[in-house]
Amino acid sequence: MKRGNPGRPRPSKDGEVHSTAELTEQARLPGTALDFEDLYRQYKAKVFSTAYRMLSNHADAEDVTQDIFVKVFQKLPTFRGDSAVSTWIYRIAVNACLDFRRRRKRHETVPLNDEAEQVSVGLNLGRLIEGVIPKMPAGYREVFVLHDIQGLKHEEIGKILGITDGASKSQLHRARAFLRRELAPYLSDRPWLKEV
Amino acid sequence: MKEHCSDELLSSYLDGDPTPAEAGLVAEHVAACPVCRKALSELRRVRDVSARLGQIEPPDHTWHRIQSRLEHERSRPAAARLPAWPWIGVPALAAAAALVAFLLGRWPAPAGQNRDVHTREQVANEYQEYVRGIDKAMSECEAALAENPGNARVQDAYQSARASRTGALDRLVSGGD
Repeated sequence: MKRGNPGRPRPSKDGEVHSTAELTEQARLPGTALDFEDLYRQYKAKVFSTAYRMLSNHADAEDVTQDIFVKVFQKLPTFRGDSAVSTWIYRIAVNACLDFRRRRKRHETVPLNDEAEQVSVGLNLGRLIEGVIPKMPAGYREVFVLHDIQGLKHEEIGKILGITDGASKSQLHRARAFLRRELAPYLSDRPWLKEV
Repeated sequence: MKEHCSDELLSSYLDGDPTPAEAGLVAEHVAACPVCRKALSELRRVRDVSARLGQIEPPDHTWHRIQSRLEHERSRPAAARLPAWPWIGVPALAAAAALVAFLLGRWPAPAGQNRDVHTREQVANEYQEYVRGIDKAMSECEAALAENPGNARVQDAYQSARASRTGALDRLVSGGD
């Protein structure tokens, strides 16, 4: 029995009974015992967190998370195991976020759920960092989110973004320097500031 | 090292990227320079706090919406889903028809016993019908795979149809024997 499945069988237009779960349970990752729902449960938070921090908006992150998992479902049969499942899913996720940003032509200045304006309430360094992420130049941001927040290695990031390990490292160090500059008043004058 | 270290270099030092010789120089400088020591400490703090920001769960309804979208995809007519298979389907049928039409002009004139009952147009038409039948079967496979991409039996049927199609066109090119 699948966990939390909403899919009670219900009649479709053609009169047949289909379960919404049936569709996803039949889709398996080649070479593994994982079905699509397993993949969703395993990666939903990683994918949503990445999308949220790359797009700076909760509703957009949710839409793109749906797009990402629909793509994952459609591409399941083509997964050949050349890279780790996580790398494969992150690649789909990052590409979907970049496509979304290009389509919307949205600039990198939208605060994360207005976190920047809310920092005076419940101030802590984690929230301050979240507030600066949207201001990071594109390029820095992807690498910073994937490395320092999601914990990926430069080698994986290189594969996901199509850049060299060295370029990934370089972008990361620039991102951290950017963060330190932006947060200088808080880092220097408020050593008492809570971390997260 | 007389100059202050850049933040980029200090960040790189934090991650252990520089060579041992470079790292030694940075360590020596940082030990003697309060400005760079403070910068290194702040960068470390930023890095460590970032690593603890944690994951954010999507709203509970996200899974339901994904399932609805997949179900909607499944209910769409097969033709509407064809762009997922851009290398086959309608373009393939058009290519087959064009190839058959081209070959009509090159087909050798009927000769001998077998060719008495088949004009070259008849043979070409038969092949065209045959290829159309295969294309129809391939379209049905595509529709089934769009609903259930992991279905091994349909995948096999699809590969078999492709092989039949290729074989038919090869035989047509080689003169129909």
